[in-house]
Amino acid sequence: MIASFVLIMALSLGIALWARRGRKRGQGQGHDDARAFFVAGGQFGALLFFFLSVGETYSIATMLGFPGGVYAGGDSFVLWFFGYILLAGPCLYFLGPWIWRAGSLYGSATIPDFFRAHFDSRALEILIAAGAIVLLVPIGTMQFLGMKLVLAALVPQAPVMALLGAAGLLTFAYVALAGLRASAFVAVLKDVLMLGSILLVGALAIAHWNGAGAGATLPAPAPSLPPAAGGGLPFAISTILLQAVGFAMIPQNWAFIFSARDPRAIQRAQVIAPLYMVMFPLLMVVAYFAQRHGIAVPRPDFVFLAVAMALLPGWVVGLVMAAVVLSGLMILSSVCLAIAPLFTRNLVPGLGNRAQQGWSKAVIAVFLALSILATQAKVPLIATLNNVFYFGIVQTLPGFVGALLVARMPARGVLAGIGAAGVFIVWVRLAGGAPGGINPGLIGLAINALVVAACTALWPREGGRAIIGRD
Amino acid sequence: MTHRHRQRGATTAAPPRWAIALGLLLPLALVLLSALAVPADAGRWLGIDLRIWCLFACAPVTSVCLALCYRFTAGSPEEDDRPAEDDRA
Repeated sequence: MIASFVLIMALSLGIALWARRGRKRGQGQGHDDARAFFVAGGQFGALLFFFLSVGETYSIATMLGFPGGVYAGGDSFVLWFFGYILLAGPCLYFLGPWIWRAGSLYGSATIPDFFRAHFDSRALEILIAAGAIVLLVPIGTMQFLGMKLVLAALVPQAPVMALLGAAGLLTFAYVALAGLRASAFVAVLKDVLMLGSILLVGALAIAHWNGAGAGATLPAPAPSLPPAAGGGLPFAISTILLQAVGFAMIPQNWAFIFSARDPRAIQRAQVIAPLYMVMFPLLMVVAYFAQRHGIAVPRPDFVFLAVAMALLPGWVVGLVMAAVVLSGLMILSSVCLAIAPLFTRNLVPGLGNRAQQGWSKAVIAVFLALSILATQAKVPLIATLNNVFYFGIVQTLPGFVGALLVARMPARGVLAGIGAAGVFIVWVRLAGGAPGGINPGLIGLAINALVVAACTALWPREGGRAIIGRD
Repeated sequence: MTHRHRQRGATTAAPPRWAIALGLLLPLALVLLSALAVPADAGRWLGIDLRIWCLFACAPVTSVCLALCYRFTAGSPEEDDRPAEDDRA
């Protein structure tokens, strides 16, 4: 089991090294070094863009948290979890080409790059960069929490912090070797393994559905990794809407979009993405199989691995564990590549291309170390921060849509909109809930849009230009 | 800030309304229908509620809708002819 796991990790490192060769070739053709590092110089076609994009969608929370949630609480959260991932594809299909176009117009590598250039506002750049950093930090911690579960089962006798440190070093190696190119190429290996693991374990669960042990249902404890949102149908539907549009505004997704060679590559990838969701029924079957056959698990998030251990030989379980860990490492590397330029391009501007890369590696090392240390924190705090992620990350959407359509939208309107949404969420927290059981993020987004529209009507910008229709 | 000159498939017009209806609104309507219109006690298969199976069925339908949008909306007249990274790999 350990040998096959280590073999896959070594193979992933070899792939990252191989990706480095292509990066040097790209630089030799005169590409901007920092853009080559952070967004692969805009060289990826539909295939690599697809693997990057689905790598972001199918994280360790999907492989462990989704079946864990079903095992513990049934299908109550499946509507919003599946619904938002499904609808994120069409949202990216239509918004992605415009994000690409906006980045192309201003030579952007990050969301704040675009807002600074389009609205000519340093304050907007700093607000969006700082907000994105705060919101991204818990995502790194969640990946380490998932990996902690797997690594502790793989090598129970080893100190967990040392194993997480090794995972952090591997992530740093991917990023330092070839930037986003390493993430894209390793994502191919990760997706082949992940899809293979889920198809294999799911097919075996179906084959053994009525086998020995069927009917010994066990009660399950509460899940700890996301998905963990509660609420009724209004909350589920409003969460689907919020997160589907919010998905397009995630900083690392902008980096992926900027890495695409042309807008049609983004659209081609989104046509295929929904078919990839065949994994979700199989993950549910695995969770129900564990309940039906009384397979005991130490915690719900371990249910997929527990079923794999019950049905597969040890060396194949090692491959499955490698797939889970790689899915965490891929998210980590993309978050690293999203956070680093927020510091080196946006919070500390004026660094040259080489300095940006050098300082980025330092920022990434600190981010990984802090994320590992944060795994010692209480999980409910981290889950809460994850729920806040989409609320915060989506608040740049009114400003972006305005930049597409409205020439007169002023920077102060976008700032005021984000500020109003922030005040609203603080009020919701203090009041103990949003009206009507609706996700407060969606109400905050509506307030944001109204404030932006009002500011545009009252203080229109002189000399601005909308992106749609611009020659 | 370096400005790349506008090129490489940069579109300048919004997508047609029929494409937004087919590629975005129809999948949204299907997801809502599967949540609201299918009875909760309609039966189960492999442990999964029929309502959830209907939700899962929205995925291939969405893929077909987006494929139709892709097929029948014009590609950019300025699309780049450079080989992509995955073409070279």
